[in-house]
Amino acid sequence: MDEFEEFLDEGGIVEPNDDMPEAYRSAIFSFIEMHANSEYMGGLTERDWIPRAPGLRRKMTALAKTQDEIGHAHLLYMVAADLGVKTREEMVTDLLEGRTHFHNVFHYRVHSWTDQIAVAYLVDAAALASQQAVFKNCSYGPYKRILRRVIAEEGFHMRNGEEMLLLMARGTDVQHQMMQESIDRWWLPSIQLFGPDSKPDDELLRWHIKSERNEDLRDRYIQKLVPQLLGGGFSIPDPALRQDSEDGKWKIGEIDWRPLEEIMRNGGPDSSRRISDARRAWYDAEWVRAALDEAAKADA
Amino acid sequence: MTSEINDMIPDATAKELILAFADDELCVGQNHSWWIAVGPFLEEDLAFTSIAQDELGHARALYSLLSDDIDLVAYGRPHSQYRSAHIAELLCHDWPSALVRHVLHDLAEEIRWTAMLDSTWLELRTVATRALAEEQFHVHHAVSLVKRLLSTSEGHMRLASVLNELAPLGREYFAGSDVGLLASGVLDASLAEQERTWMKRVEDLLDEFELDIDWGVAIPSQGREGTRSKDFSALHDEMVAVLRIDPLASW
Repeated sequence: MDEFEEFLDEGGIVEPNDDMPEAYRSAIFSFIEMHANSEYMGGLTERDWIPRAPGLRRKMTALAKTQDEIGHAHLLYMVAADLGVKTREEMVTDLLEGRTHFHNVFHYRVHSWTDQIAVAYLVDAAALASQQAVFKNCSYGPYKRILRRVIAEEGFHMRNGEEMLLLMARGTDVQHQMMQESIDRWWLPSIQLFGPDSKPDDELLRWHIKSERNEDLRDRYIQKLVPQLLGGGFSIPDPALRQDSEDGKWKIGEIDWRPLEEIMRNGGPDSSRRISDARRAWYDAEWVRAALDEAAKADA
Repeated sequence: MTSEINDMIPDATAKELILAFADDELCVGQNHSWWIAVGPFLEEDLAFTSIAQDELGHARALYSLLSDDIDLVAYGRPHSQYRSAHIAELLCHDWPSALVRHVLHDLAEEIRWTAMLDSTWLELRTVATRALAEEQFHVHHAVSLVKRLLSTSEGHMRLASVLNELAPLGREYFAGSDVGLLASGVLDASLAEQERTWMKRVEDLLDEFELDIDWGVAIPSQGREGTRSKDFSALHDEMVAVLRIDPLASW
């Protein structure tokens, strides 16, 4: 392991057929599997409001965005499968049976169109920040290459979110109020997306899977988003939020981690509906997959 | 000759034909988008979503031939002023229906665009040329999936009854008036000819799987005259749910 870690410290890149310690294989696999699950569940989260997207342009944009998320899931499941730990089918089954996890934000329900905007703006900005930090110094080659594309597309999503947020900021009283309610709902889940503070000796950092500590990423996110939201005339649902008079940095209050703990047990506000929707769709279509396999075998 | 073509001003019949086509595309694009993230597997999610975007793009391009305010035309009319075929309005929240409607719709669409490729309505010709390039992928996707599924006993069992139920409804894609449109060069095939071509293509597709469609004697509904199907109301409610919150606001 020491030799392997030295190789990683020197900027070594691991490819699927290379020798690697089982602990590393397992860690990178779980990390990518969780990312893939989250992209897939993110698609399901956004799905509710696509049919209601206001106007043809918004509807096409919303479809394209969610298609990107599903596309990311598709690529990531393939990259994960190449590690030989589980097949793609096993990963999907484990997700649907509640044996694996997906990001906290996708355990919540999108209640309105402005919630959809909050997902595009708050959640995608948080996801993008995390992914950029992984991409920067990622030791696993296939994941790093996929992340290059994921990040490029997430950047568009975030800018699309910013555009819609600004429209609501300048919009009617009703729109402004709706947007505020959505910020109130999605602020805490978004800052929890970074996870609790990193452990002192986080192996994901040591193995160059992550390049920055969770709390550092969260802090940078807060410094960027708080002024944007306040500038749009919105408030932030954190009574302890304050700007430090010396360094001018925004400090948030203590984070209540109980919702995240519930979510880790799949007990989030919309976890069971999300998983059961996905499960129903997957098992209802079992015959399609079986028939296509049968047709492919007959064709071969 | 060129100046004559450029001077072509579409009459009410031509505009009505385009409105009906746009409404078909709007409804099918809307309905396909329901399938995002719940298709039979991820590749299919991606394909269906991509096709949904194309169909909505076609609707947008067609509406733009009729009005500068696309969203007002697309979403702002009373139900009786829509002209969609009933088959396009069906929600199809089960995969066999969604797939069967997909194949019937796209086979029809390919024929409809083809009849506009040399249109004297030049803007329409441009839209048709672009749409037809996309349409070939839709048809390939739908036909190859349907063929592979029909070649298995399970797939045959699941799709046969749906094909029998929906195919006759597809005739409505070719309903409406085309009076004068051949003479003016807007179309180069009449709606009746297009319908015959479509029925033949559907029959050819199903022939090798021993499926015969009972087409019925008449086009079965009056979507083109303003009568809406039972599913339209739910579909339209979703389309306009956010716009309705404040119709004057910019979203």
